[in-house]
Amino acid sequence: MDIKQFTSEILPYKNKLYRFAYRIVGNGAEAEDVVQEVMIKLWKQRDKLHEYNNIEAWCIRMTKNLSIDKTRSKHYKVGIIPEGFDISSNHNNPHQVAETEDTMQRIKNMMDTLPTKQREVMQMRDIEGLSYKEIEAQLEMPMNQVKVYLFRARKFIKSQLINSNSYGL
Amino acid sequence: MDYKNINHLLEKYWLGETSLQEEETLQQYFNHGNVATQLEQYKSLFQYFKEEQDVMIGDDFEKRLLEQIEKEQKVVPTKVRKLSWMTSIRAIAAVGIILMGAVFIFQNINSPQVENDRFAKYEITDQDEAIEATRLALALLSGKMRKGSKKATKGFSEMKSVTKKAFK
Repeated sequence: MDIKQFTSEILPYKNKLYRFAYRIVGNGAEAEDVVQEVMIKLWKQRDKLHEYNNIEAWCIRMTKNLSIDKTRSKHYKVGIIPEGFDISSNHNNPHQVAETEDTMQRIKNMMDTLPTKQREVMQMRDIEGLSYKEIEAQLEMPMNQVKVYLFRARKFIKSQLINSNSYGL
Repeated sequence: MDYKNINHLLEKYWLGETSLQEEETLQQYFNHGNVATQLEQYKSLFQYFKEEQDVMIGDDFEKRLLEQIEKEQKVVPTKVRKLSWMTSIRAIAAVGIILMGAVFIFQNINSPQVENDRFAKYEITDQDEAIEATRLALALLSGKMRKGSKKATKGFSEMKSVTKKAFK
């Protein structure tokens, strides 16, 4: 695989990998470092890449492992200010901006309270738009299990949304 | 899409029975349509999905990555110096000569056979010659012994005379 092929076939995964890493490390700069590390590893193994049936699933697993390693490292610090939401361009009213930020943070908190597997399945389905088969491959779990996790996660989020609405949050 | 259809899709969504296309329809509705008041409470969830989908890695990431890859390639040079066929033959011949020399020297130094061969030519094989050689050797030995006892007797006599003088 040459640099041209690498740029056209592997590099397009960068945003998906970045979001995946970001959800684990919770910091934009750290997430970028993880993606860069994954890409360099892929480049070093470029001659073997054709041996893998599902490169994307392999990339996701590598990103997940490196992100977890990062959170365990001594120098790891979680960003105090939440990153990842650039909503300032959509709203001019400062009150609206603050309100939307607050709403997004509330949903994020709900997602964070989900058990890890349920959260991963829901993020892959609802944010990355992956099929059940793709989630099965990337998380290495049976499809039935994927569906059960998704059902439980959505059920929990629904109840949280109804509760917060009832309390006027 | 009307409220009834969306509500139906939403019910399927909570049960995990929607297709990717139906989920896309829900996202479109909650992010771009006029959301019905009854469904307003779910709007924030689909807005959150949209916000998350729009999270992108930095613009300069690709440039930095390609620079890094270029650097990696320079750090690990895989270039091997190629020799001409004449130089290769010379090198092989030189190594061969050195090896042969080393083997020859090693054999000469360590072989016990060579050590034996060195003294084999002095070995007496004729019986008469052996007797003569033994006789000469014994004669030499007896001559030396005779000379030795003469000196010892002389020393003893001297000592005797000195003792006599001393205790007179």
